[in-house]
Amino acid sequence: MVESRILNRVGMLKAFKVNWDLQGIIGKASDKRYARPDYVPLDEAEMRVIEATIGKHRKGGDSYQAVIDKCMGEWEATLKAEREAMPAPDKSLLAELVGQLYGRIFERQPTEEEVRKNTAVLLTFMEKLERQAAIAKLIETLILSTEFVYRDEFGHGEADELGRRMMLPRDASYALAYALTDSSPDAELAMAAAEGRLNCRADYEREVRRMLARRDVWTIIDESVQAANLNASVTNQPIRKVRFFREFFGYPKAMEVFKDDVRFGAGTHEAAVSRLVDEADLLVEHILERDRNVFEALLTTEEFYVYHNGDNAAMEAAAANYRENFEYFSKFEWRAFKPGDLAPRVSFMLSRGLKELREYQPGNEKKTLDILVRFMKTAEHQFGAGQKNPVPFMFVGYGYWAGGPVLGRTGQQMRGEAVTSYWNIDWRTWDYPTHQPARIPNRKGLLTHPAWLIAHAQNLETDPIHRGKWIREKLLAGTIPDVPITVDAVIPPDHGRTMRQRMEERTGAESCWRCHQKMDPLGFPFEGYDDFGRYRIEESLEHPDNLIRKAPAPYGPISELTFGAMLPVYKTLPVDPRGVLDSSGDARLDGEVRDSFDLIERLARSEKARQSIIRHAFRFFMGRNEGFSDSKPLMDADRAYVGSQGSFDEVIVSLLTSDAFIYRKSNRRE
Amino acid sequence: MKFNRREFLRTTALGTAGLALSPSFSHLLAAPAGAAGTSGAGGFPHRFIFIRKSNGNLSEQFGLPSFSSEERKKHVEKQAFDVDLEKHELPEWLSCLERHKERMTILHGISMCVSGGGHYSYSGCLGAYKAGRDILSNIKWATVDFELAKLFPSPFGHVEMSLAVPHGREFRSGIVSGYSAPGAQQRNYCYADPMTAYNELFKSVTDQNAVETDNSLLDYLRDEESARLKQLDGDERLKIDNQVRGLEAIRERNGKVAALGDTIKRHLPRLAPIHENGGVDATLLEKQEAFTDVIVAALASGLTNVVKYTIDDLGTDIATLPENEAKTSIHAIGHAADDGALAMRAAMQAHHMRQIETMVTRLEAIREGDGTMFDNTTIIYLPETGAGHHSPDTEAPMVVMSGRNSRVDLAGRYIRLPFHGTEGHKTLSNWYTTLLNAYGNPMKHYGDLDLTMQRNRFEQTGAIRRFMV
Repeated sequence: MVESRILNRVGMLKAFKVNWDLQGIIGKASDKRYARPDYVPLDEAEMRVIEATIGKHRKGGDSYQAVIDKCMGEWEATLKAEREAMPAPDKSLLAELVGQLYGRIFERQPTEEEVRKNTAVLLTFMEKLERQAAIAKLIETLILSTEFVYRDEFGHGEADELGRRMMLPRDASYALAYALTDSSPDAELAMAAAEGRLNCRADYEREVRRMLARRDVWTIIDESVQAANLNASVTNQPIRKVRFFREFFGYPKAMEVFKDDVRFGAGTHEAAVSRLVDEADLLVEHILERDRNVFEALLTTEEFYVYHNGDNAAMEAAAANYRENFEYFSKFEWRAFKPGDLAPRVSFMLSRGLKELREYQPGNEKKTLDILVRFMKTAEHQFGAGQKNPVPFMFVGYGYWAGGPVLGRTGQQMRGEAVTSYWNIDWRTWDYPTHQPARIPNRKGLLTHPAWLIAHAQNLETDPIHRGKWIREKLLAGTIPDVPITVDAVIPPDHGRTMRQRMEERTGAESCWRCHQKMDPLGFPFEGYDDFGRYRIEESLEHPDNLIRKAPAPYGPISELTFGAMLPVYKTLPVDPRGVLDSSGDARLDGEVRDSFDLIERLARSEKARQSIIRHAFRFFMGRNEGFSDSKPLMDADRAYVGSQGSFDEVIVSLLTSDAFIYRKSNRRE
Repeated sequence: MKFNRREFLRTTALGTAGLALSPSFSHLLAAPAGAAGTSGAGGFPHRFIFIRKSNGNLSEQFGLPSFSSEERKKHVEKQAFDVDLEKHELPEWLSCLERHKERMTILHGISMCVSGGGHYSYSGCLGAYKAGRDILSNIKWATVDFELAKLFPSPFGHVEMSLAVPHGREFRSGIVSGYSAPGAQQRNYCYADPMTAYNELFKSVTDQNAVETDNSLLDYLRDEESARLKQLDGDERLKIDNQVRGLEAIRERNGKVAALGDTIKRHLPRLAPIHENGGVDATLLEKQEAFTDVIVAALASGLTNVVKYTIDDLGTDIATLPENEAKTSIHAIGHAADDGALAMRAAMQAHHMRQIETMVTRLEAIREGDGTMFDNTTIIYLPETGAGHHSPDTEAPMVVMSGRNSRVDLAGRYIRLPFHGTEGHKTLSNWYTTLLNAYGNPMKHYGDLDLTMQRNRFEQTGAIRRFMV
């Protein structure tokens, strides 16, 4: 590797420590702060040793690397020989080593007994292995121990008057840290434990509230969402809050449902669905940040994020820039432009132009003109119907390093504009709301979010059974037995009928209806959305026999597209979205429902649904199922939610300061 | 700096320690009911070597130069047909396997749309699912090599070697993350250089001190954790008990390996000193040869019956290949379509075939029952991503070398199955189901379903019946 590459990489790493934005880093390449480090020679004695060793080993034709390798080889061999010539290390040195390793691996100091045992085992290793290898073996031993794998959450010490024991402060600090985050206790929590300030309920509450209020730590939500299409998928909320709702609603599973790009019709589904999940996370984060009537908001909000990075000002600026460029060039006969016609517009292009136009310079006129024409043709659709703002998507494909009109939270390029198609919107023509979350028609809450709908659908069809099962189990606290082994759980195909009609004939049979009555009437209202989460009032009977018109060809007129997608047209039958709600716990809510919106409104008002969510929250934050003795913590958590106008933070405080969390069974076999 | 436990577990630390002490997944290697176990032909296990390579396999390069005009037309138009290799010439890059034609299959028509992938398919091409990016949560189930390893248990269970160099790096050595998977959301670990593989696999005869310290470590841990068990009840006791059993299983495995000492010594390869310390100065061909030596020795010693070998990926440095005068990269070759790129593809494949020829020849030289070890071996050379650099995934030409006792009937032929999306087409899932059914796992269907086949309403589950013996 040549020296200049090494120095460039060092400079890049220094820049990355400060700024995640690759485009920003490229811009700073010449900034002195990130310039190659200044060479500072070592002291004279060290330089003499180095020069002598180089002189000894360097041969004509050697690369720098070969010379370095030879010098390093000699020094390593010398050091090794010196180490091995030394007498056996004394026990205090070994004890110190054990202490250091415990500090790093277990984040605590060893007991005397542990020092004695580990020193003995290290000496055993040293009899057979070279010292560094022996130390590595000791590290292996510590990492393979169950203390490294499992955390201790037993009650310790003297029992109180009711026979209960609390965790040790150190164990409690880990329990609290991992209840809310993915990390070991932060410095303040660790200090509180060490200084005896984590011994009572008030102490727990103080620390939980402090951690809930932190917004200075960013955590990756989902690596698979990030990796799929440069999505940000980060949050500065305590990550377990977001994770609870991800797990509860199950919408991340949308990424795992195998879908046909041809049926999506708007490009690659895998890329777009990852943005869908990312934006569902953004919505959850937004609602948690407001922390008011959280459950109701998640179930009934009509405002969503659709192709947005969470920064209203940035999205507004990007859309405004598009508009400004469109309005400027619309004044000219841009269709007839030749490359030379760009020169008179240089001033605008370099100061107010699109990112691509700002790269104009003599010599790249033709390329710039091509880009301008592409932009204007795209923009004609974006503004052609009087739209105020366009979706600021990349109209030219760029490599991930090249940035874009607007960047995501982590400074990465924003992609996946076809995500709008799931929402029945064509990104090419949408009058884009730059401030989000924004109202999207025909949607109400996460149960009508395409991510949830896809997660609870089949590969090629909807899945009313599983959508209904989800509602029964998660919101109505019900149980559904497993499919009997004698049953072939398949809905027979029939390309002349809707899914509901096919299902009613099959699951409507008496032997099936006993269980399916608990699911199907709750799932049918969501037939108002297809298996991509697109709203519909007519169901396409997808079969070659029912084809009316093939999917339009690529690059054809936009007017032939369906929400921006190239979809064929099939015969249809009307959707029947009626359903039935029962067992909500409130006779005023039970009964027939008109459609999914009606069902969702009732569920959001149901006390049972609220308490079911809290029960799931108990399981998530406690890490176990509830038992009869947990009824008080559950009721307290419910009261905390209701009494705080629906604050989820108050639910968490209630749970993590409850007896169920603070007191633990003893380690002793009694 | 404090180490976060979850990060440690996610990194190679536990995995590498586990691999070094392996098998860390021994509980997963219990053979399912109906497993062949060692009751392959003559009581010998069947061995599998999966060799995966990158950049796809171009269909035109896997045709035969001696096709008649009608056969060529069918080959180009991807119509189903097969011919006897005995009556045909092999392409130049396959010519080193000429004398083994009787045991060779050039298999066309298997689609890889179920695994897809673009530049990489990660665990997908051996799991018959889309692994997306190299993310843990995308691993759907055990890859087929691990499933086969369960059918033929061995002390090491399953071994993975790799010359892959992931994007952004320049060199890999030691024990690193691999592309096979022992179970859902579990990543396997592999040997990234021949000397590490040698040191770990043959430790029992080459480094007694290392073995004794490993055993001391296991004994110490077992005693410590057993003492901890005495204070526990219920679920907690079960967790620690599992740990203790795991340590005992590894200890027992070490005993079995020690018992193979004489056999291991008999087959112990010699690796040149250039492979020490990761072999940073070794050429690609030297590494390939050394890995071949290690693979054959590991199989011959009975340490494992299944090897997964990533012979290259897009990041593997090919600068040292003698044909690579332009010092191009595998990725660049993938994007180019000119004669130079085709020639380099053929050259790389020829080197791969030389390694396969060495494996076949050496395994044939080892007597086993009334035949040879190769009689009970199958080598599958497959592309990671179908028939090209990014695509198409609609076909994935493969070379299969199968021994006389193979339970899959396809040796000695060029076979082209019906094309993707047509009646009778067979996917990667069908191919792997065939292997599993043939060798004792009766599962109805392995791997994901293909959407095009589903959309076209064609039957697509189960084994390829015509290949079943």
